[in-house]
Amino acid sequence: MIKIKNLVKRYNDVYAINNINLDIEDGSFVGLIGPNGSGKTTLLKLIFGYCRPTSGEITVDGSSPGIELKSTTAFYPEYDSTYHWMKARNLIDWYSKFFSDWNKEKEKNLIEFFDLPIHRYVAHLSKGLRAKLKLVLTLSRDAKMFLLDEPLSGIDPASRAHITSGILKAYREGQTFIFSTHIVDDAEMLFERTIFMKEGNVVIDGESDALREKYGKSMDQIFKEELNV
Amino acid sequence: MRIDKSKPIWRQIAQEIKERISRGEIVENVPTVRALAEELGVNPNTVARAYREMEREGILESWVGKGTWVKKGSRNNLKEKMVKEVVEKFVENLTSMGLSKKEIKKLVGKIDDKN
Repeated sequence: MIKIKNLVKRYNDVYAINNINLDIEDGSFVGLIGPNGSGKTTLLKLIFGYCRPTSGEITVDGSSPGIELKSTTAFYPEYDSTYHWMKARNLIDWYSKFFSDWNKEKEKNLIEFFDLPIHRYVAHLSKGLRAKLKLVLTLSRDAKMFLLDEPLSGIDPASRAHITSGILKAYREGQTFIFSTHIVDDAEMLFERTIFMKEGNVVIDGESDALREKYGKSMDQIFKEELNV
Repeated sequence: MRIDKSKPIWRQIAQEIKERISRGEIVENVPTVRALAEELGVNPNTVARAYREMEREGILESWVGKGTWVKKGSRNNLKEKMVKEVVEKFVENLTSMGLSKKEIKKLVGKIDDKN
């Protein structure tokens, strides 16, 4: 369970997170939607403990995010976290040794599903394939919580559905997923709950089907028409 | 099945399953939550919700470890309900065109039952 109270994160005079209050239950699959610069990445980093709040409080299962959280939470960063001088196969093997919850079966299935050429050097993989490699590194764990920062960013439209079905295949009921994106249409059916952010604030938050009922709109339409971005 | 993302997804799944049952495409076990979720590309909990609501309506039954299946008599009940809805809509359309119930009955009576 994630509890966020009056959370503020300021970088010099810029408020990345303005004043956020949120509870996220264990086992929810949450879409975190907002334009670039709305605070999605900062919020994920605060949940993971990559950075500390300026003020306010954030707890995961009762304690503030620290080193213990790394063993139960998988983080997919938006930047390229791979090593280009390694072969994909070696990178996966090396990376897997850091985690006691690594699931070899899931790793195999994901490599197969994404059709990843693991015997090639990472440097020789396209941007889309590197994203898929990063997903193998993130989703092969039996973590309790997965924080995915913009997994669709930079992916060509034709491959997006492939990425989301890979994530759906890896997802197990009971795990917490927070999936940030500004590309909504291809991913919104995965989200049980959708949180919309704008300028460091949460502006709309609810069960996705309840929001569809209330607005008569898809999450993509709410993002484009209700947020005025 | 085509999903309209501007309407609650669990309702559309429930509707689709009801139609598949009434057409006789699903006779016994409904697809597993996981299989249907992956087929449609939706969250498994959304499928589970559709099944849960259909259990509450008395259309499906489930048992831990045995999956979820169509309750006896559901097909006939659903078919009856859907036929009734179609007939009601048909009558409504014709009345709005100015026909009386009597005229509609007369028209239906004229239907050639040879083909």
